[in-house]
Amino acid sequence: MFLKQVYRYNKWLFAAFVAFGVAQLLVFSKPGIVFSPFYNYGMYSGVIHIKPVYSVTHFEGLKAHEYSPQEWDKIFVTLERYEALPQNDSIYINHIARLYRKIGLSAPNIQHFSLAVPPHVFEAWYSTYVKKTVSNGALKSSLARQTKQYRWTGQKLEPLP
Amino acid sequence: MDWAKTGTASLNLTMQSLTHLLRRRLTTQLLMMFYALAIYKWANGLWMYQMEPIFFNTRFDGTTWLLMQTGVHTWLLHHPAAYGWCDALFYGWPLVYAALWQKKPGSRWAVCVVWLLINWLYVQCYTLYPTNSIEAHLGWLLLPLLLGAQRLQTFYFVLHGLRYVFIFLFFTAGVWKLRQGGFFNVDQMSGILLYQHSSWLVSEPNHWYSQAIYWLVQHPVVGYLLYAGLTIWELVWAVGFFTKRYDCLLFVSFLVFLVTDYALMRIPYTELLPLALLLLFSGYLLPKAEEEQAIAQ
Repeated sequence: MFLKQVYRYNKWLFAAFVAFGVAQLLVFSKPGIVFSPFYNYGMYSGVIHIKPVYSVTHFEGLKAHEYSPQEWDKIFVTLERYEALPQNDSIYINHIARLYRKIGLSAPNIQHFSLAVPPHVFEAWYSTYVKKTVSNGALKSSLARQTKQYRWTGQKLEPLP
Repeated sequence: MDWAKTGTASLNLTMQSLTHLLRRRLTTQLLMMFYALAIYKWANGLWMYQMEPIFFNTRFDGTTWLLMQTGVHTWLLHHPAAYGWCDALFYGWPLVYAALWQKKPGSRWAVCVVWLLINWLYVQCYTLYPTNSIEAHLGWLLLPLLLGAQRLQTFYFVLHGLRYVFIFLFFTAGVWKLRQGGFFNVDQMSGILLYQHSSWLVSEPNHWYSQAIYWLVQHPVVGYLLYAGLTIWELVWAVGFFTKRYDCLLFVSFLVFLVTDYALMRIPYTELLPLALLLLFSGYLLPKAEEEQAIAQ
């Protein structure tokens, strides 16, 4: 058995392996918070149904096939992450500060956990950021972003009027 | 020849022990992979200096919270010129390791402690910014532990320990799909595809790729079979807990998964390649202490 071999070789290494395994199993058994490098690999494991309506952002004239998945993610995931910024506050208030208080420590500096980026600051930065990614020279000067509601018709996504 | 005992090394039809030469080969391949991925990320504008992020997203990770308390990630946001230095350290330090590997083997451990620190700081900050998930970078968080091993036997044990981590990753990904119920939902793949590709589908509705995705969404049973097949494949990784015999097959199936996932989901799991590589070196036997000394001499 592998662990037996490790034990015979070096007791410290054995202890480290056991501790690693126990920590990983604990994280696995209690979904929610993780502790790097112990993660849960549950991407797309929850039930996902087709939604009747999708809110989709796109850029006029941007051709998806001209971009690698990484470049595409750079354009769109960044937007999603920005929209998720208010969650920073909620995680800090409801989890981090509460946990610290629970173990008798004062809450850590909120500025290290939460950040307000005003929309005009984000838009100015994002515009430059996207232009660096967009390969089409003509598009760079006229990037128009739109977020619309799309209905799933059973055949395709169709814009709602 | 007992194939069950020799594992992937049995491809060479030998019951060979792990040697310094094999260790060197694996190390070289890992470093080459690191730089191939570095070039790939640079070409996609994914180095920190290319992205110059201005915000971060707090995640549910206790270790990350400890790092965030230091404020290093916010300091970087206010000093964007330092992004380039972070890249230089992260992408440059393996060269220091490679340079000292032969000349000063005694320093290997110390170099790797620094490497570990650099990787942890870089990956933690990098993934707090709007880039990629931290889980994909697991390899770079752990591999310096392997490369820093002074003794060949320690290298052998850490290699196998990391192999178990990699197997656990895939096996539990399958368990999660059962636990969270995705496996039991026939619409699952259709829902995932529409969620994952909505911006693509809206951008180019008539492209062949969009038509292919739409076809899969319209045929949920076909999509479900893909999802169920993936879940079963992930659960099959449990075999790796009991034998190393099929490691080579697991490695090949991982490559197929990598390509398929890139094509169908447009999710690149390339950062996991270095951990997958360990499967090809798991079949070698534990070197004996006296052999290690003899080889070292």
